[in-house]
Amino acid sequence: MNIFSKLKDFILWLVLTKKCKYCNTLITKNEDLCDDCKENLPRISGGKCKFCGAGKDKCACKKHHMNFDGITSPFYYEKGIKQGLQLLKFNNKSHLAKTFAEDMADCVNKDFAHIDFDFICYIPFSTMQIAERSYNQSELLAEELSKILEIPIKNALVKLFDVKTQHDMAIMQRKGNVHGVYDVKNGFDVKGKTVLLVDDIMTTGETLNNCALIMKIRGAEKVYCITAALTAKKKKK
Amino acid sequence: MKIGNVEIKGKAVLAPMAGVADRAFRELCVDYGAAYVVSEMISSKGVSMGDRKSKDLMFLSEKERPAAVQIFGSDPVVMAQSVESVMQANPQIIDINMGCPAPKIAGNGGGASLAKNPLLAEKIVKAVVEASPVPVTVKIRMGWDENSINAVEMAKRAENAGASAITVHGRTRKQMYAPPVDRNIIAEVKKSVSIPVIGNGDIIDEQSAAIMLEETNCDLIMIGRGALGCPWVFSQINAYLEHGRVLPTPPVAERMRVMIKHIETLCQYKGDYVGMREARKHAGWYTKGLHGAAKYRQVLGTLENMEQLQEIAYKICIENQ
Repeated sequence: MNIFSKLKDFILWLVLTKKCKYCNTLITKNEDLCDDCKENLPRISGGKCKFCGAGKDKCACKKHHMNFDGITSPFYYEKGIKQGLQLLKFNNKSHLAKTFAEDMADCVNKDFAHIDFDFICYIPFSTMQIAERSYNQSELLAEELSKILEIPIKNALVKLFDVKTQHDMAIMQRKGNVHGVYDVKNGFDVKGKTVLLVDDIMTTGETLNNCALIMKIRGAEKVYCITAALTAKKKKK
Repeated sequence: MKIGNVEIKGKAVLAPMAGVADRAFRELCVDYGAAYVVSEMISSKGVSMGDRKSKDLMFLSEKERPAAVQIFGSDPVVMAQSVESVMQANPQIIDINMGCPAPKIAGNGGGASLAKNPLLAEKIVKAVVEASPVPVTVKIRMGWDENSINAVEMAKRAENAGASAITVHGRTRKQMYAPPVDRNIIAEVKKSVSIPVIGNGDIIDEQSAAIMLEETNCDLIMIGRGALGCPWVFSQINAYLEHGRVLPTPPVAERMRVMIKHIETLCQYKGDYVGMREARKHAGWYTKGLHGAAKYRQVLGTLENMEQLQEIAYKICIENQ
């Protein structure tokens, strides 16, 4: 970004203060979306794989069984969505949670229409992370989602200790990293409950897989997952 | 399909298994689609003398219907007397045990040893049928040993005495549970009697269930050891027989979830101390064949509390991903 485009952005900000609702870039016209997002938003359309949540054309999971009972997501983690989620995650743009939650709610209504959820819960932060970061993006998404869907939100999970964050690791190393990290809060009763688990991005699915597993071990009946975006895997030929 | 006047939906029945098919397990099997369930065997002598433990054993809850109570004994008079107390549990069917090979039953003239004395067996069935307001079924074995295979005679006598259905286990007393089951004898029994015949023995999955039904032409199938540690076998068999679909075995996390749920209900019904001790064998069955389960089975054998079980279940799931 050179000095002129920064200057252009600054002047536009002074004049318009209108931003794309997904990627947060300034837009000149009086619209919700920027031109780029409008044209190629990486929305997951058509039939979804029930094991990995990706569209049937991009699914590369080989029907590998995860520990949760279902996963859905409105977008792939690409282009404008990638930009928006990174801003939400690291740059304090917490207002973006609302836009993503709306799309997630549509997904839940479409894909999990027949399911009665007892509560929504989210992937928690460890004490260290809470101190470092100002908010938990999954919690924000879950809160917005709970307002739209009118399902109570509960802080059922706890992150027991700090590990290297998943997004800092290579794909192959992520698998063992989260084992035993999450647990159901002491004294919290998940027995016989149907849970909707919220996270921001799913790549390997290890975090969600582990959280779903520990909830099932502690007695949850069904665990369904919803994420704001998921990484499309490359299909092996 | 009817046994006496009791409507039976489905084909797969849970067999009576002493010490295993208790209330928690029976309810789980009914959830998975067992056509009806049979209680653990109850001593006719004990129950007619008002034994408290026998009463606890034959308790049937409302979640496990239709249900049968199985009684054993060698005295027609005592057997008939026990019916009155058994009816307090409100079973839909009374089953007479003539197949138990365990020495403490068969050695005392009850169970499988009645095959050596068909006249007495007929008397017992007659006495129980006369005393009982509900249909009576009989569970027999092929015979005492390979030289005295008399399942057909026993079945005919039971039918004459008024039994409503007959379960045939295709092994002799001497064979106990080891050699493969003989389906021909079940087919012969089916040909010789007009009441429903339930085939039993070596049914572990949908294929063996279909083979049993096809080869013997029996009306129902009874699953015993095949359901240990995998109660979902009932839904698999039902899906196969009704829609021709082969359901996959549940993933490991689901199996562990069912195990924990089962053991929790077990502890709820029997108390933590007895529950956890009975859970040890169930946990062994549920983890059978899973990768890395062998090294945990030692710990499972000395299980003391729920937390321990949950921890092991978590580790096994991780290893099997």
